[in-house]
Amino acid sequence: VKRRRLLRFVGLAAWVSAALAGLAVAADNPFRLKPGAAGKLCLDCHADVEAVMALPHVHTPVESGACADCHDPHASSHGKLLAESPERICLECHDDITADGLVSSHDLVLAGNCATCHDPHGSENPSNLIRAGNDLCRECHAELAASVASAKFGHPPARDDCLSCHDPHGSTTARSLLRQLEPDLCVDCHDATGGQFRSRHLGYPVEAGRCTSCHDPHGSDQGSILWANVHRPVGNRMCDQCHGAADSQTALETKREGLDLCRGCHSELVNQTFNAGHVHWPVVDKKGCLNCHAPHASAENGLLTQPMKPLCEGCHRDIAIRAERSVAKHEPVEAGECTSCHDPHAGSSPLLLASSNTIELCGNCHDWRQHTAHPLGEDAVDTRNPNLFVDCVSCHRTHGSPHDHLASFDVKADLCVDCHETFRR
Amino acid sequence: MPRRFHAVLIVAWTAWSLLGVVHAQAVRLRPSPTPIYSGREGVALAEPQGVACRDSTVVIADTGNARLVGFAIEGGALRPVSVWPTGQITMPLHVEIGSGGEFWVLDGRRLQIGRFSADGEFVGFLELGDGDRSVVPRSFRVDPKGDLYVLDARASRVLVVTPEGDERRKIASPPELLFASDLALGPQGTVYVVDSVGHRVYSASKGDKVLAPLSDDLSEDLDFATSIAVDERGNLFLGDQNGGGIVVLGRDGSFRGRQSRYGWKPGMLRYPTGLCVDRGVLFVADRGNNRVQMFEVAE
Repeated sequence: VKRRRLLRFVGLAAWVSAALAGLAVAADNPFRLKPGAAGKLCLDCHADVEAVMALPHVHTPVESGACADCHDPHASSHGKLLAESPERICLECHDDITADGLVSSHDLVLAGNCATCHDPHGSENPSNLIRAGNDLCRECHAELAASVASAKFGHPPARDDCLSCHDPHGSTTARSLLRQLEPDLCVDCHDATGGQFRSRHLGYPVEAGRCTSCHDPHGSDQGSILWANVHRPVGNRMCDQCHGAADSQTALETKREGLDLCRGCHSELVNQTFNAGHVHWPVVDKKGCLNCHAPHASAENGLLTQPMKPLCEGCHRDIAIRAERSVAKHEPVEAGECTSCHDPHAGSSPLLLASSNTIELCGNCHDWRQHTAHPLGEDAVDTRNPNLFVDCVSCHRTHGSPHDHLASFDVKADLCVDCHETFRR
Repeated sequence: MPRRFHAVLIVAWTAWSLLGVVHAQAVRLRPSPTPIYSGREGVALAEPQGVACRDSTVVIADTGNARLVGFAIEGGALRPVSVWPTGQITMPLHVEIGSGGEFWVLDGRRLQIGRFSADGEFVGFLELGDGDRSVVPRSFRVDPKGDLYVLDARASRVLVVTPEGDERRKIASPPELLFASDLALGPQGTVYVVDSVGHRVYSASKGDKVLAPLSDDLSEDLDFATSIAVDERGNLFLGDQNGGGIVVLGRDGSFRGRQSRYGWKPGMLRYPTGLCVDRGVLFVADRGNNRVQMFEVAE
């Protein structure tokens, strides 16, 4: 009885393993191609792929003839008979590329546009890249590449190989796809203990700071690859104007906080700000001026931390949304020239306008006398509100509107009759 | 017995559901057809930024004219009572009525809170922190006991101080609170703070040391809220400065509607900046329209 049971068990086990093996074979060869037919069969028609096979770098499935790993030979809902959408197909094998916990990631990778950089079949270049080295990055980052090339004082790694500092897929540690956090990334090459390094930085322990607060890692026309706009004390090598002595325990800390520190030199501006009446509130918080300005150097005029448009939109996103949805565009809003109309520090009007009289303010760019014969100004009382006179914003919304001409209402149906109600039909 | 128990359960459940339905009802704001355009002597309001109301008294911070404009509510109607120049406070941004009838006014130029007697006499400035703008009041409220809740823009926190400026309590804000513009005090002593940039309301109950998010992200429903008020039922009102409207939230922070819209006519708003609510009436400092509007709160 025992032997019979054992035989039954062995038989069952053999059957199960045969079935599993069959399943595995089916998974490996879902189209039940004849042995040796994989790949070769496709090449019968797709002869051009044979040239790819001769390239120095060939994608593993192509090399092994596993065309069906990516393509469905019969039919597909996707172009090129791909077995998955172009955005997903690579992730079937390379799912580690979009790992969790990335601090920064390349937009192309997130969007699944792998073929922008890689040839899925094969290439002359390692990793099947469609171009070698920095030429590939230049395709999209042309403006940056041009400035790298033309910089009077270049940074060799930026000129030679973007990948010295950046991971093209994403970084789990740092912003901007950087392979490491600053300053670790920089001190890999720059010996912070060296005499020249220390004397160039006046003995300050900058290796504990952020190098890009002064230096443009892509090269610059300024000596020491400083950013294009340098705060005067930095340019004059007078760090102790704001910081403690280089050999002190608090060398990298500022002597005072926020506005109180900047007031030392910019007292006139600070006084104007407080006398104006309506202060831009970020000016008076703990960070103060540093909410918008870089203390050492910047690529932007006025030492702004970033171009004005994204800087202002960081808080005033609603304005950006209104402008984006607007039918007509107001040029300064589109160009991000917020300071054309607003004073970013303070103003005598609540909206921090450069002039509280909008007719005067708009008149800086628009010749309203030619623009309209409509009564404007203090003698033209708004019929909707006895406490207002008619001015430019009686009809227009300056940042954007769903109507033509930046009008507050539909120009044909509602704008005029909002005041002139007797003419409403 | 089980049947009776079931019946009790069903009745309780029905009552609870009905209560929920009532609670979730939208709050409507009925605008008064006659906004406040001027005070007792007939001078037009100019960019009023603040309004305070308590015990049938309404005081407007008439910012552009550097004065306070007072009204009494009598039989549901407003009667202009007095106009007080704010003297050395040249930019009155926010006004509150104290428990003793005195006025507290935030000066936008000095960034200090000044105290006025009930007769409008300037008493002095409130001393906060160690001077030299270590505390920068962005807004403030006065509780029934007379303590001031000051929203400190410098350190993004709420300071609770006595009328003499002695600190009673600090409420910190969490790092995700991006820019606190205004605060309100609920009937149970809860502090509510509106985050203009993060489009959220935060709250702290009695004893809490840090503000916690109360509402969801409201960016779909408002543009840039800079004022907040709470009524005796716990309804929260947010003044959407850039969007021209009032957003109403329940006491749990749930969205209960958006009222009014950008415009010039009575009932419409342009850059509302100050709110207060008293006995079922919401007062709105309608800065861009140089007036104060009243809305009856109806559920």
